[in-house]
Amino acid sequence: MFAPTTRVLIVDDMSTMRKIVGKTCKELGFSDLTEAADGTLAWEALQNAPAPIGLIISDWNMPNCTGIDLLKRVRADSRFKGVPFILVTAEAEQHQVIEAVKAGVDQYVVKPFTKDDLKTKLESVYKKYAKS
Amino acid sequence: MQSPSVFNIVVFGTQSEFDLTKVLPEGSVIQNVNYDIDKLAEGEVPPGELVICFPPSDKSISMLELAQLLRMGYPSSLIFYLVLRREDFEKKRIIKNGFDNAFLLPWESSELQQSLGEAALYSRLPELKDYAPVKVLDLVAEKVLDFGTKVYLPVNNKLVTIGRSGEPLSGDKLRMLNEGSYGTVFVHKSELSNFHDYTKKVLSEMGQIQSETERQEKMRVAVRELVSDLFVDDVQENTFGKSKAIVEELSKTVSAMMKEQYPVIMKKMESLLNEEYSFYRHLSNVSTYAMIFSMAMGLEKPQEVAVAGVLHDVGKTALPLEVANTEESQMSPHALEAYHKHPQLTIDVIKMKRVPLHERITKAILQHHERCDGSGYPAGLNGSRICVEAKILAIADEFDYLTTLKPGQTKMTPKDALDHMIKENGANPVVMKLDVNILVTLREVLIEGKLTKKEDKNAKQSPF
Ligand SMILES: [Fe+2]
Ligand SMILES: [Fe+2]
Repeated sequence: MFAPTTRVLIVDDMSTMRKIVGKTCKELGFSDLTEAADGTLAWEALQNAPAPIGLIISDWNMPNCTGIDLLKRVRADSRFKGVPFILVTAEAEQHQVIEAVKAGVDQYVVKPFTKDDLKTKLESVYKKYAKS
Repeated sequence: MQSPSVFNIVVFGTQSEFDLTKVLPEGSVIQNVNYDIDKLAEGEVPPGELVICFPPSDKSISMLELAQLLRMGYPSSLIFYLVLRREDFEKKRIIKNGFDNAFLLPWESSELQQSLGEAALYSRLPELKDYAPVKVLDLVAEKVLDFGTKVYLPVNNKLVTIGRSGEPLSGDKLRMLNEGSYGTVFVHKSELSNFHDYTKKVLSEMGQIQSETERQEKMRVAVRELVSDLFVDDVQENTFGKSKAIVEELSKTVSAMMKEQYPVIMKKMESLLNEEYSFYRHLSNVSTYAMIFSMAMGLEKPQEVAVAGVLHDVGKTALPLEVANTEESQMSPHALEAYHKHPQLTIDVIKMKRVPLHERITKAILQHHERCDGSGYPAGLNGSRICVEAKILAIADEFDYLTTLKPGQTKMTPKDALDHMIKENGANPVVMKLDVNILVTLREVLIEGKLTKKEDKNAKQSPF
């Protein structure tokens, strides 16, 4: 897996969802978690983090700045473009998936997901980055 | 006798309007839990093979969050969402949000009961997942089958072989299966394509287009989809085109039956009678009967009357819960007054959805509770002013009531039901409710086989 010290940024406008994702991350061994309620706040958290963020798990549908907007912004910035990015969507619409892949997403998770679903996606992202 | 194993159901949320115990499968144990979001998020949930949830009173939690919370706690259990208010019922959205199924109560209580029963059965006997249910009705006696058939015996919780691949099933065996509670047999999924080839072959030999199982299943799905579509208020979902397509699909399935001879139709009609009451089944049965009766009366476009049949009671879903939950015979005068609005409510729902229907259909729906002696509702029309389609619909409605299995009562055969209605309505023309001339013609054509379909075209119109 990622190192337990990897700093994870969890972005979702629903606090229960942040809680759920956070809890699953903890169970998978991550202890350094940061939360943000939308893309704009996530962008701020990225810049202001005391140590660099090593993984972003973001919801798609959020007010202000959506998950795909955040992804595009992250990928366009030389400081963050290499950070693994997982999108969480309410439904896997074909065109959404294509847009996300084009924008450089590493994995996407469809709600409602189980702990195992999230774990599988995290592992595949890990494998991808371990290779390169 | 000890039950083979306990089926644990966890119920989230409370409500007092629907008695869940009425629909629970045998051997199930329910545990009621209050919604506690923090506990849910912590994954502190009681174990259960199936989860039922009612809409939480706390509206700050979205359906998606709820589904997510429950899915984390129950990664592999079925999660059902039960709704008692029509406004809360948007089935597609509920399922899109991650629930396995959604039921509108009390209207879909028998579908819920069936789904719960199936879930309990599959959890009790996991090997059943490799089998598909098949109607006994689709099997022909003394014909070699290239697939095996099994029945489920609840007493020993076992699948028992009744026919091996390469052997025929005897007529006696089939009769026993049909008469017992085993209207269904199980075919292993690896042999299912053999079964489909078999039905196709048998059907083409008999000159039929689709099997009875297919027809009934199509009807059931179409009726359920049509009714739940009527609840979707989203204009984007464009009910106009969709409802029209469903109505057309229905017309097709019921028309397929028209090509057959009366004895075949009567046999199929009897097969409908083995089932217990369900709201959707009532709609689809009345539709089938209305079509057969219209054909027997020599009416033009009997499928239009079938469409009226499938829709005739959907307005009931707009009735207040306290009315919907009460038997008609137990209703207060006030509740009865509301109940009597259901034919008009059906028309309103259809109009709201902009379903394009011929006036002949809406008239039949509106008048399906009018009675020849003027004692009906909503308008108290006299026999001479009730259209023949509505009279046929009224007969089909009563016919379904008489021939359906009801707890503690014996159901009637088609012949007995027609005889009963003729006796009830033929004695005194002053208090005749259902048109006895139509009833007598139906008996002649359907039971005695007196007239052929062709001769029907010239049959006399009822004087009423
Ligand atoms: Fe009715
Ligand atoms: Fe009815």
